[in-house]
Amino acid sequence: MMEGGIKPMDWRFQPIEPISELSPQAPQQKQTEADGPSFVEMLRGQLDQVIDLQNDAERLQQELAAGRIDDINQVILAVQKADLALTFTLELRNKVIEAYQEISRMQI
Amino acid sequence: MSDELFDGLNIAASGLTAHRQWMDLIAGNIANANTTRTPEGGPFRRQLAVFMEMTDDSGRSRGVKVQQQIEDDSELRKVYEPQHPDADAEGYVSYPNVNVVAEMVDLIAASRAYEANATTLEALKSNFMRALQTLQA
Amino acid sequence: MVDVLGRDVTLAALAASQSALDRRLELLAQNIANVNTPGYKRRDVDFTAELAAALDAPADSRGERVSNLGQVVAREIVEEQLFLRPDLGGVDLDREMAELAKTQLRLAATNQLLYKKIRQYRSVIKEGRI
Repeated sequence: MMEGGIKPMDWRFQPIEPISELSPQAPQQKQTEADGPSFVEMLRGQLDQVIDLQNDAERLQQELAAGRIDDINQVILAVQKADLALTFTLELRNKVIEAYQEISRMQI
Repeated sequence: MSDELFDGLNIAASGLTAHRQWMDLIAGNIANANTTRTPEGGPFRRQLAVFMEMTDDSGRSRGVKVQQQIEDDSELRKVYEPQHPDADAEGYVSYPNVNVVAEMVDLIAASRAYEANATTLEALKSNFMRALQTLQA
Repeated sequence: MVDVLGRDVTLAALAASQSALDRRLELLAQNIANVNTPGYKRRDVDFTAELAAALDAPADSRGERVSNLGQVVAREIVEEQLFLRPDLGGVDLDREMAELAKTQLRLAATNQLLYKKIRQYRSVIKEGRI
C-alpha cells in the first residue's frame, strides 16, 4: 500500500533488500561455524610444507652427489630447513598429544 | 690374513718406505762424496734407486718399491793430486761421481714425496674413521 | 618395508658417490706413491658421469632407481700424458695433493649428509623422541 505524497517514480529506485539479512534464521547459521581453519587443516598444511622442504633437500643432495652443485651452502641450508621443519612438526604433534592426554585425565 | 681392507693405506705406506730408502741412498752419496777408497776397492760410486710400481698377481696396484739399487756408471772425477795415497800412475786421483748439489736437489724431491705420502696416509686413515662414525647416527 | 632405507634415492645417490670417491682416494694414493716412478701414468676416476646418468634416466619406481644407483661403477681412466724427461712419470705432485684435498672435502660432505639422513630416520621412527 503506497503512502500518500510519494511520487510514483520514487519506489522504482528503492533497492530490494537481500532476503537473508531480514530473515530471522541468518544469525544462528553463522554461530555454528568454527572460527578460522580447523586444527587438522593447519597440521595438514604444515605437513605439506615439511614435504616440500624435504623434497628440495633431497633434490639438492642428489645434485651434489652427481657433481652438479657449485655452492655447498645451498645444500646445507636446504637440509637444515627440512630437518628443522620436521623436528618442529614432530614436537608440535607430541605436545598436542600430551595436552590431549592431560585433558582426558582430568576428573570432571 | 688379508689386508685388502687397507689397500689405500698399504699403498701410501709403500710410498713412505720407498722414498725413505731413496733418502738413505742420497745421504750415503753425500757422506761419501769424497771417498776415494772403499772396502771393495776403488772410489765410491754414486748410488741410484730404481723405482717401480708394485702390482700383485691379479695386476692390482700395490704402490711402489725400490726394485733395485744400482751404481751410476758415469765418469769419475779425476783430480791431479800426485801426493795422494790413492793417486794412480799419472798422479790422478779418482773421486766419486757425486755432485753434492745434484744430490741436494734429489733429497728435496725425495723428502717432498715422503711428506706427500705421509699426508695421504693420514687422509686415508681419517676417511676410514669418519665413515665409521655414521654408525653412531 | 623393514628395509627402511631401500627406497631412499638420495641415500643411494650419496652412497654411490661415496664409493666412487673412496676409489678415487685409493687411485690418488697410487699416483702419489709413484710420483718418482719412471714411465708411470697417473690414474683417476670420473665419479660423477655414471651417477648423474643413473639419476637422470627414467625409472618406473623409486626402488628401481635405487637399484640403478647401486649398480653405478665409476669409470677409471689412465692418463697418457708423460713429462718430457725419461726419468719422470706422469705425476704432478702438486696437482695430486690438490685433488686429494678436494676428494677429502667431498667425502666429508657426503658423509655428513648420510649421517644426518640416518639420524632423521631414527628420529622419525622414535616419533620425535630421541
